[in-house]
Amino acid sequence: MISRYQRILFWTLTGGILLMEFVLLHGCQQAREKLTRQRDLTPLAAPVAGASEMVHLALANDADGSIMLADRELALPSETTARARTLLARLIAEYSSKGSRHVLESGPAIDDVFLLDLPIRPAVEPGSSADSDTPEGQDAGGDFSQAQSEFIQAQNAGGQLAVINLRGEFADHHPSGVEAEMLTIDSIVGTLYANFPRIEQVRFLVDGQPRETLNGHADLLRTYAVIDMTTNKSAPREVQPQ
Amino acid sequence: MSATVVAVAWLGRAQPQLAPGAARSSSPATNRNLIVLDPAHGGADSGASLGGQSVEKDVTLALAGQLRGALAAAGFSVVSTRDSDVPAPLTADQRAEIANRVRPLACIVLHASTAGSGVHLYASTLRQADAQAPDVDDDTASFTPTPWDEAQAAFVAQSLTLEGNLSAALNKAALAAISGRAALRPLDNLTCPAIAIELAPLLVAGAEPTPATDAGYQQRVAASVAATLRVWRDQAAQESAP
Repeated sequence: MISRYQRILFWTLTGGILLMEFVLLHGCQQAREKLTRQRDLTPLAAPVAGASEMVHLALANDADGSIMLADRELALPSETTARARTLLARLIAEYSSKGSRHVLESGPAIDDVFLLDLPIRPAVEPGSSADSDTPEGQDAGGDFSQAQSEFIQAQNAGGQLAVINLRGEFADHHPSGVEAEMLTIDSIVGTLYANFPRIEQVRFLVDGQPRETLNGHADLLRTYAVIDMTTNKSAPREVQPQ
Repeated sequence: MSATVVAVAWLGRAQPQLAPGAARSSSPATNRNLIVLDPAHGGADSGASLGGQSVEKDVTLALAGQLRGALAAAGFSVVSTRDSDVPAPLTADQRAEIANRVRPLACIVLHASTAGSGVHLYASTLRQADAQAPDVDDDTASFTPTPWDEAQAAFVAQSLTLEGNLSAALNKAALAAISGRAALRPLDNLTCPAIAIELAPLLVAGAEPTPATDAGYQQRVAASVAATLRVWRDQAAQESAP
């Protein structure tokens, strides 16, 4: 006959073993996720041996929601898209450094930057035209077909659209909130404005795909106009069709 | 949710009144005593983690409850896009549709965050519409459709004015408001003066920060917002008076 206190001791120990097993598995899973996030740090581009130059970073401040310009010495590649990617990578790295006023998790954030000359028109399918097969309702609506064909217009001759492909890990682990997310976007837009005068508009992708929000709040499906974020404290405006 | 549906149906039968600026722009009439609250997130979308077990979707719902009470005390009717944590919350477009159908005096989108401090106020990033809305009684006027993503453009000026009024009232109540503009759904789809309010921890010198989950903090914010909207309504009544 097993005494009562022995049964209690047995079940307590069994419970303890199960609890420890759960804690151990959970810890292992968290460690594996952390390693997975940080493992892809291998440089893809060759190191730059050029001379350093002065660049301007539009740095965000969570305390008052402001964007301030700061100058940094940085060696940049000569190719424009590589310059933009390197500059934005440096910008995001600033936010994971000690003393940052807009704290972001460390790790790679910018997968790639593509620069496209404006205007951009969508491909027209053969056989279709604005004059044929157009429902009457669209004609009455004031030239829908024209608005669709002129998809993204340039504000000035030689204007460019920057498409920034963010890494999924960066978006997933970005602090969630309207201010936190908008400041990151403002900061990116403001930095492009301060260093790349030809870039007029910016669109975002995450892991090569359109995504609704950065992490639940800031809209990533729209086209942002590149404006001076330091003098205009408002968020970047959405570009309206011409 | 059923309460919301009933409220929408009832309000659809209510005799509409003119909104501020409605007489000038011939825009559709507005229910001057109606406010739409949109507690963001819900269901599987928890929003930001606010520390411990607190998540954004619960805080926005609690703040909506506080606002509903304060607004009712000020003589407003309130339509909320959600009254509980439903498993399948409405999409941003559906929430905008609810608000647009009842033509409220103002729409308030609620968020919460741990980033920054105080109360963050946001208006749409859209540029103000250049042309006034066509006269609804003029059959000869050409029909100019408003894109869904730019529905807020005609109300941006009013939204910015309301944002300024709210900021002044919150700062007067020592609630440290920060104003800005955000690319945030469904702000751009709303056809009413629309503001997003994000509650962040309140920092007071020499004291522990008051978290967004604090009911007293939420109540103070709700009281300031309700008082501002009451003044806004009175001003609208004076403007539309013959």
